Amino acid sequence: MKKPKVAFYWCASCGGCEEAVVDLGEEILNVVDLVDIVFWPVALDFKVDDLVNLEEGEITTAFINGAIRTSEQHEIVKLLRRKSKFVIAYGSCSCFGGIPGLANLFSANEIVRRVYLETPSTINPENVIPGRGDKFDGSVVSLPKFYDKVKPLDQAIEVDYYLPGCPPPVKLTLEAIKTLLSDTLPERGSVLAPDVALCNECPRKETKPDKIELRAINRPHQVYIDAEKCLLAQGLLCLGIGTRAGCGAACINGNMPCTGCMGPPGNVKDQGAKLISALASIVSSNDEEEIKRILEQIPDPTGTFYKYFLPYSILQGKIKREIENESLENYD
Amino acid sequence: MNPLKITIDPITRLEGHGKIDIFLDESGNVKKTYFQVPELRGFEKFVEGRPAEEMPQITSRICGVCPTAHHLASTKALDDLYKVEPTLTARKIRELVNSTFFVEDHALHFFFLGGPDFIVGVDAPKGLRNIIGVLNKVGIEVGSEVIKIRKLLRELIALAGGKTIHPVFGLPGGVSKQITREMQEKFINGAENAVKFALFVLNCLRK
Repeated sequence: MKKPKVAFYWCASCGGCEEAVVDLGEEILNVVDLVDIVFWPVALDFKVDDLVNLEEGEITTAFINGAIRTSEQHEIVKLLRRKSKFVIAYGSCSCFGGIPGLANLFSANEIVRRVYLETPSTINPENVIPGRGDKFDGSVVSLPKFYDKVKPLDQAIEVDYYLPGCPPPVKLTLEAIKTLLSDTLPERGSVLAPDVALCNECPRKETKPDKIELRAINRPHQVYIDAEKCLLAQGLLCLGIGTRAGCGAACINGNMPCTGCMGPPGNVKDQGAKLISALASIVSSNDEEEIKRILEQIPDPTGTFYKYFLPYSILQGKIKREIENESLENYD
Repeated sequence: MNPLKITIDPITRLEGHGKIDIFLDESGNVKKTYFQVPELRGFEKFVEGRPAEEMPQITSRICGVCPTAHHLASTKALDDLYKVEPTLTARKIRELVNSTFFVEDHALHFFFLGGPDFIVGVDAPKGLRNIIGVLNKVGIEVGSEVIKIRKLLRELIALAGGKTIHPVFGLPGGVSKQITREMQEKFINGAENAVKFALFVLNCLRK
């Protein structure tokens, strides 16, 4: 029997999702026995042309990680979509935008200026910024367009399944591969992770009070963190209350609060809004001034509650209305 | 297709995106080369406005292959920002995690990323120039040792740092988690195994 073909690709990402696949360890040898990997730039030497030469739908499953930040990424995921029966948004950048999605608080123009012209370590006396390409010997050498906003994968192409996490946990990855190779496929659009909040699998859940009373919000470097007790009960912004389970409470095992990388459970549309509403309900005061004082202890609400979720949220990011004096024509 | 132009798209077996266009003259010499790394995400901008103590976790996302290095570099920047000298214990814990990372990362580079060129060879067909080709060449015994030691060491990073890919333990002046006696023993065992592994690989390569 012919082995099913699998592809792995990365867009605006860090490579951690590739490492998460390598972390299957000895299991990866079994996976390699079961499938043919036809494209995986981090590990295999196949090129874009090899992908182009495949038949439509010849790939059984494409695991695509990273957010869509450039036109090149957009083109390749469209190509992968045509060649694949199933596309999995693998990892939080692909599912929601992830950390690179925080860039949606700024315009492309602001980002390009900062990186190429303004940082203290930049030496660029001729103020060169990336253009759209060059011509040489009658050939065009093009540079991809840097989009104005970061998109999750399903704003670029149709996605069949989602596997969140930064990175996705090994256990869930293995289960996903086995499920997709089996005859019983989950419903299209499913998130291949448990549909409960992280608190349910937290090793400290016994210490979580029935009613948490938030009187002060503590930042992790400002207090001694008790290694046994519920972090939210210690006043730390542990986001497990509005975050999907499946990671085994990894950050909490590192004695640090959950920052929400798995995204929300299935019944929540907007992770940040849910977290804000959940927290608002446990602030322990009826005095408006005191409530204000407590909530002002959160230095960066957007970056905190939408750390991995901004491009997928209802607002998707920040849009500035004022017209900038100097515009870089390629980045408008 | 222009026979005098070679395009390598994408560059493979490294963390990051890249493409090379090489133009040749009639005699096959290089006239001009374009090398592009369209990897811009804009950390330099989007970290603005985020709390300082979040930097170790945000900047580790620059690279998920070497997140520990970015995490600790940011943590040291926090020491400097808050003008705190980490305690001796905290320094040792950071060093311990970094050393563990150093060993597993070298094993990754040598066998998975560089190995296909060094062990399988640059002239081998591209279907073989990868970790599977390396395992075929070095044998399943060596291969399973590589996988075993990386797993052991990477689990140790998670034990002390919360997660292997994107650790969370760095704080200004210290770390978030203590090392217990039991954890210490696991690290000692890991270190002894890592030395054994290094000698084993050295022996294999001498053959």
